[in-house]
Amino acid sequence: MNHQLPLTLIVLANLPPTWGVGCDSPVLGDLVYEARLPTAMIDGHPDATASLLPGIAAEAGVQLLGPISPAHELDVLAGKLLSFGGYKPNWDGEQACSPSDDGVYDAIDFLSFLPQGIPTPKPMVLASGDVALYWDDGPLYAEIGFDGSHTYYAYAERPGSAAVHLDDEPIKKGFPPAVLALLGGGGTFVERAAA
Amino acid sequence: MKCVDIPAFLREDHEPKTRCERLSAALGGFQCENESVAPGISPGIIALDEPLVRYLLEDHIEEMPDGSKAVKPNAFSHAGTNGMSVDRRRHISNTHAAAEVARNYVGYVLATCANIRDIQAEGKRCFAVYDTALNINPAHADICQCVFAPKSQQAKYRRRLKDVFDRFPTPFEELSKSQEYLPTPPRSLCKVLVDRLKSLFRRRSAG
Repeated sequence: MNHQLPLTLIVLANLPPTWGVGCDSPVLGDLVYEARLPTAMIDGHPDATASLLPGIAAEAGVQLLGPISPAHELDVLAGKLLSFGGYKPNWDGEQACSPSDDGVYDAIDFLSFLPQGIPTPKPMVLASGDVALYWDDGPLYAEIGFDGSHTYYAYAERPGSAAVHLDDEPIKKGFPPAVLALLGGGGTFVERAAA
Repeated sequence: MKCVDIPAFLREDHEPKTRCERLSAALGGFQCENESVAPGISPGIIALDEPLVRYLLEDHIEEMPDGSKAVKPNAFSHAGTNGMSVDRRRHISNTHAAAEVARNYVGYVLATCANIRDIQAEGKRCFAVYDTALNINPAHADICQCVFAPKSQQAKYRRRLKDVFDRFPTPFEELSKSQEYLPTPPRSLCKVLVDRLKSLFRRRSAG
């Protein structure tokens, strides 16, 4: 498993067929999309010389431009998750288990799948030692947790929608679309293209 | 397992992650809520309308964008592992409250016993509440999850448990300021004392 901090990259979408000679300049909002690509999609070290794995560019119609700085909130979140690695057994005085290194790094890896357009989740450590990310906005609740097995569980509910229950999902499958639908995020270009 | 074995079981040295699950399997029901599991120490079985206090660490509290504070779901996760400690508000002693402050609790939330026992999923009760009194804290009780399922389901049970407690934490100091907090002897004990005093006066008057 890749234990790198979340990576944000810019991808350039294929120009729409309607864009042509008469246009002075492209409308960036229509053409350039910022997406955090899963490291599994990147060939080689994620720097300027990195390239998308064969098939990804053709499939999604994207071009890798290079890494940009991770958003500040994600930086803070990744830092908080890293700090969980220092929790010892009985960290709360009530015999809570300490998080495993793999649990912490699985959660950090998962940050690279967070879609655009949704709030930054909050982190927590459960008494079982599982590390979890959650969104709690009154009636809307979602939780995605990691126990170090390189899989996650997900639970989400919102009034008027069917609750989401996922277990033992491989992290490399990325952010669960059903949870994204409840959170109301629009998804990244890559996710929309892959949908 | 006998009901009186529950307090020791919840504090055993073995795998804490599965204590409530093993306890639930061993008991197979809720009969131990109807008798004291710590006779001689406990003030008695827990009444349905009793408020239960869950103390909170810094790690259980989240700072909201508007500066307010909310309780994190992990404050309730012990119910699914080794038992979630709560105190019975009507029986908290001043000495114990001071000790809790020393342990750096920063706030608390309340729920009534009935609301916890009423939580159900797929027609089954999710949590049991036992009067696991301790010598140093007779007000102590434990909430134990009693249905176990994949983790996504357990997240739902935890969420339901969180929902019956206050959404926002009260600062710990407020507990000791509260009039209700002051320990009051049970009504039956008061009645006994009054009756004995009356009978003493009667005897003296007669003598």
